[in-house]
Amino acid sequence: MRPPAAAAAAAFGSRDDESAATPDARAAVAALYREHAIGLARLAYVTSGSRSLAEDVVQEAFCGLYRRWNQLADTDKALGYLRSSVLNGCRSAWRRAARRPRMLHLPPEASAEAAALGAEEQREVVAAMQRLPGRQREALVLRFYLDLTDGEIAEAMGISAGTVRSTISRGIASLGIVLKETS
Amino acid sequence: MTCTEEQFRSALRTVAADFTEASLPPLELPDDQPGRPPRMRAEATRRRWGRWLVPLTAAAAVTAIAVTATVIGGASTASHPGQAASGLWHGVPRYYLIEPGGAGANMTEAFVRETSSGATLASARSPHGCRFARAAAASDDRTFLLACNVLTKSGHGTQEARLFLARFDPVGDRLAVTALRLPLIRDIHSIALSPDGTTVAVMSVDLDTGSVTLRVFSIASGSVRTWTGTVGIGGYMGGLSWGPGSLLAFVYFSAADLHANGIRLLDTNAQPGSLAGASRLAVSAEGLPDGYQAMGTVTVSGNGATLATVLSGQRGDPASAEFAEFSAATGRLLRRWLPSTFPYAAVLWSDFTGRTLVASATTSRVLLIPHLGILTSGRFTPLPHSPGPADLDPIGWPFFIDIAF
Repeated sequence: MRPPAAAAAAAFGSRDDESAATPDARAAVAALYREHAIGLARLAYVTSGSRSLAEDVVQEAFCGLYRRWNQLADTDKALGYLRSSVLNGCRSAWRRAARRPRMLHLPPEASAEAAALGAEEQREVVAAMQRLPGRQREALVLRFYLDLTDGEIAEAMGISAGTVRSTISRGIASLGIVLKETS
Repeated sequence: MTCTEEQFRSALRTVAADFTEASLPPLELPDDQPGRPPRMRAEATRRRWGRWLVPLTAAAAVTAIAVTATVIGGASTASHPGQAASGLWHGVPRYYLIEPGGAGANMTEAFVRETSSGATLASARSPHGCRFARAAAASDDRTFLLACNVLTKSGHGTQEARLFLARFDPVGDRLAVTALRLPLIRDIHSIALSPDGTTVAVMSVDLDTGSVTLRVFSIASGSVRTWTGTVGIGGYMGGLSWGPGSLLAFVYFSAADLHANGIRLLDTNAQPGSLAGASRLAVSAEGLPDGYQAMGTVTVSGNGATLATVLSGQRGDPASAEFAEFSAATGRLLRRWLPSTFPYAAVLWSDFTGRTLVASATTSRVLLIPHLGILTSGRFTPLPHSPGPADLDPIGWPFFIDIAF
């Protein structure tokens, strides 16, 4: 397992050039946005429970990528960078929210489709997940929403694969308990 | 996969789907000057918290980016599930599931095959005490719904079936089968899994009375909505196909009400009750061309605009098939393909626009071995290594084999 700083260096190379923005970079990041923004926004939404926060962290992630585009050693790693940025953005928001009364929740703003077929129960399942510790929450979303492997989750979270497995195991057990409590 | 895990996975996808592409704001990249805080972040924050917070937020945003840049890993480029679904092979799903009915298999095993090569990548035996009967697929090319007939103690099949979800893991080449927490269902005729894999539709037909029941279950909550009707003895109903959102299509042939027959569309958000009353006749069987007498399977295009089906029974010959495409909005016949080419055929899958289909067709009236193929631009191109004699009991097809894309 590479330490996060080393992983960042691998993604961005060692150049110190901060002047990233070029027409090519703008086009490349815009293309990535078209392809991946909705998936990343949904990741942020289910992780954080806030639509506006999800929009913000995704915008922030793409802006960050754009500003560092010329330092990106391997453009294939761009999605990994964006995913980590989104998770970090959600994590920061949760830290801020923890100092305030509970404000993050899944509002009942469902579409017509979601209004039917027990969508409310599904919201409750996701809301129950948001009561779990942050690391468990992230690991569960990465596994059960993005279907990432242990190794991929380990890299995205900066922890070992063994810790990923134990975190997911504990997370599922905790989720079961929370769901029982709320039912 | 435990029930909690399955419930959780389904819930995540349902909730995530609330966030639609249309609701995503356009990307606003910052100007080229390095060090300038991202404008979008500042604007979003200003909108909610007021101008006095802008300097603080801008600083926080810069800090966040700096922190982010130090912790990124060489994270995988594996796609979001929805994006994985777009990773098609020649415009069709990369994997399909087949439940063969050959002499040695007897539908006790399900196999996942690679569309491009026909190679078997994974398999699963039917769970203890039941035997595979029907299969359906979600849109991600790796999540499948399986109906298993419950067996008696002596191993005979019953009319009751249990539902399972099967998930193919291409990394480990595994097919994990999980029992759904849904009741036993009798007389299953057709099943469908919603594109996002969260909702199940089951059509039951009681052949003794001609009564039909359509149940739509939420996998996460187990909640069910039920519509009922009567097609009479000799009537037919099935070919369930899930379109976008809550749209469900099926073929309906009632011996009692000929005017109601054809391809019908149901909004599964509609009030439960009468199936004929709640659904809309999209393509009427009374207007079939050239004396065709029936329609078989149906698939809805991903955009919900077109319905692909197989017309059969031309001039009283049951072994005559022709592919056809209708407008879902008006019922107008748009295209017809390959008349008098195949004795029997079925449509299995449609792409977003309906221009590319996966279909099965037999080339012989005697040996009813289905050839799987891609149907596009009026041509049927067989897939490599389509199912062969080893996959099925030729006499039994299409009753003892099921294929899900």
